Amino acid sequence: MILAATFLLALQAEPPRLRTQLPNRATILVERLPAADYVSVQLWVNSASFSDRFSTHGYRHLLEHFQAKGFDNRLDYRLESKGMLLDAETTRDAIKFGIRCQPSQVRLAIQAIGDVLRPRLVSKTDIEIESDIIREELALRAASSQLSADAWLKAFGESGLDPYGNPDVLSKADPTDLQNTWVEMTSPENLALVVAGNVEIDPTTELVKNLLGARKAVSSVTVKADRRGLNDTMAKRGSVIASKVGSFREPGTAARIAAGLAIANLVPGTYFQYGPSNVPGLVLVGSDEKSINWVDIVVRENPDNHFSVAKKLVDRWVEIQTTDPAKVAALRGRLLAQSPSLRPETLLENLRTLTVEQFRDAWKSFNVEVRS
Amino acid sequence: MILSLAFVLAAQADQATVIEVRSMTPRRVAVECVVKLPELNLREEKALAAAIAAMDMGTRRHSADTMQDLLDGQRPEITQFSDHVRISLLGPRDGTSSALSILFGLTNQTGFELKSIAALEATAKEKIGQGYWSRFYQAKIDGRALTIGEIEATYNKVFRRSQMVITVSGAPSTVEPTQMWQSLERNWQKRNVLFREAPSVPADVDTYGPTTVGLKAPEFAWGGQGPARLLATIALGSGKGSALFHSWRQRKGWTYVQECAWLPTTSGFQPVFAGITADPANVAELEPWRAALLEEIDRWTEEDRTRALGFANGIWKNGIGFSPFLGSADRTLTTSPSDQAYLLAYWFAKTGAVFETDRFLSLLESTDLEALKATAKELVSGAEIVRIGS
Repeated sequence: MILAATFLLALQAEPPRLRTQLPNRATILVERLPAADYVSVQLWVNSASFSDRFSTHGYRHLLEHFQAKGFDNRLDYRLESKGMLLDAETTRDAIKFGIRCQPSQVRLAIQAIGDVLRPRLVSKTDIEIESDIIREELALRAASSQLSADAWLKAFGESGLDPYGNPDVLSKADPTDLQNTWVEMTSPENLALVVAGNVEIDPTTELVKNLLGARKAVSSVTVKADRRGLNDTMAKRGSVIASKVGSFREPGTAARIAAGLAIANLVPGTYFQYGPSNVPGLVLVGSDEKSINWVDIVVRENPDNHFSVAKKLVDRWVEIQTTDPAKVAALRGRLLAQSPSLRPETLLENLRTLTVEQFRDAWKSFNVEVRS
Repeated sequence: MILSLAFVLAAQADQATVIEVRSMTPRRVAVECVVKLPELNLREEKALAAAIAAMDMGTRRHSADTMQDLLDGQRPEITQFSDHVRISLLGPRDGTSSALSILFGLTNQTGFELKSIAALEATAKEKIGQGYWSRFYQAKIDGRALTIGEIEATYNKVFRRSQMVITVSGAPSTVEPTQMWQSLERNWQKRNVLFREAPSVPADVDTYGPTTVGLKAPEFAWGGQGPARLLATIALGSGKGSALFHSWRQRKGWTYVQECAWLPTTSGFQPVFAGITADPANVAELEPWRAALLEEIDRWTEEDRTRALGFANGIWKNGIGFSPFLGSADRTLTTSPSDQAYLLAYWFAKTGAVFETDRFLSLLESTDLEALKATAKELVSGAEIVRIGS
């Protein structure tokens, strides 16, 4: 009861934020977090219409690598000299570029995002070198990442391809095709820019408007998410167990998040993965240890015994997602990039009102094994 | 970010030192304890790892489930370094008393539930030798079986109040953490540890696979040359503007992951520069990795010094992460409240001084470009090159 009350207060005391959709359909969101000790500026480029296929596997990732360097390959250098940091990430739904800075540096950060957006024409040699670096990246990625990729492929086939890419495909990419893809992908309707931190909302919104407002639509691509599962079962490989979920807005998704956190809690050193999306995805729990029999754990344990701790873990998860500027910007940015109407509040409310019955059903949904 | 000045309450000789930090925006209370290690032989190192494995499972005062419940779903994290043990507790804001009680139970307990000695030894081996960064210690492990008596003796040798520095960060202003701890300390018992055995199965532990090339610079004590070496470390290994990134990744294409850390040692620190590679051809010879860095240092200009200083500011003032100091055997320090509280405790335990960000950064600024290049060359030239993994 106390937990529920605490959560409600948190929702009631939501920080001020302003969402703006520009005439060119780019979306801006500025959220003021007075207690935050840094600012996160994140550009989310929706790439649902450019999702990975076997023939283009990793193009978006390759573009992320090139664009993050800036027009002169020295963007990181310039930002780091001022104590700022750029990070980039390619997910199945979007490409993210994030900058961490102080409130006084927001203008610089937004300028840097402008630098990232600027199309680059790279050389064939650049592509070959970067493909090799991605080959290294692939080879060195954590077991959790590999297992996650396997689970997604099992559950969704080609439309669940992992965003890392295939270096052999990437090394043959054409520079002009890449540049054109970037130009189309960054058409304003695909862009969401979120600023979260201790910033003034109106002047910050104006700064972003100046960057994105003048951009013109460059393609007629209709953004349509496409992720059809090969089956409705859950995937498990190695020491990963996953539950397939629908949109983040569905109550069953919230219940699976809670169940996943509770299952992960049973084994020290495990990881939990879920990226909110409007299209089907996975809630995934795993460990680097191969010997863990997740199905056995899920069957053996009575979910009712773990509901209480699950609520605490959810509380903590929500707290992090809604107070840390980078998490706030990521949660909102990845949804806004999919559609300006998407807001995480539905998910948060579903988590708050989670019942033990929903939790029990969600727990069981992790109890189906799919072997390759 | 810590917004108020930390203050240290002078402790008596047989008491722990407590540092209280008042943060303006606490959501959680972070209790961090650093236990300075006495000199331990190989066998005692292993016994300590086994004791820590037992502590992870709960104490007579608090079971593992109770600890997690009191900490709002979090578990205590206990990490063994060469020069200290870190105990990390993060709880609800009104949970200072519970967190300190858990800490007391862990460090002065009268009984642990133990797994089998074999299981503890498997866990101990993992803790000593398999962490991403701790692999660079290349520690030898005593292969002979431990006894419960050895674990008890080592536990008693290590967990002494006078060797503990505790930081409490984020407690409400109405709470007095120091008094709370001192109240607990009145019940501190000496040499009254009773380990009890319970059977279990040894964990199946995977070792970290990919080949890592590491340049281990000479070990040194923090002092006159410390700030220059720290700035040189950042210039060499922190961020995408670093020499490691430019040479090993961008120019040579040897590695996607390259980074640096300062391993804590009994006498000070040891800078390590690491690159991971999947292609065996890249590690057929190791000296080219050193040569590539030395060439990069020769290219440095004032811009590189500015970048390193900017990055240092980013680490300790803007919270961008990538500190060279370790937070565990697997990662360097982040800017989480727990890690910031830990840094305060660790720095005090290590140097006897409170970590003051502005003063610390001003020390780095006194290194000019020529000194920076000379120091970086000294670190790289004097480093031992090691290859870890297949």
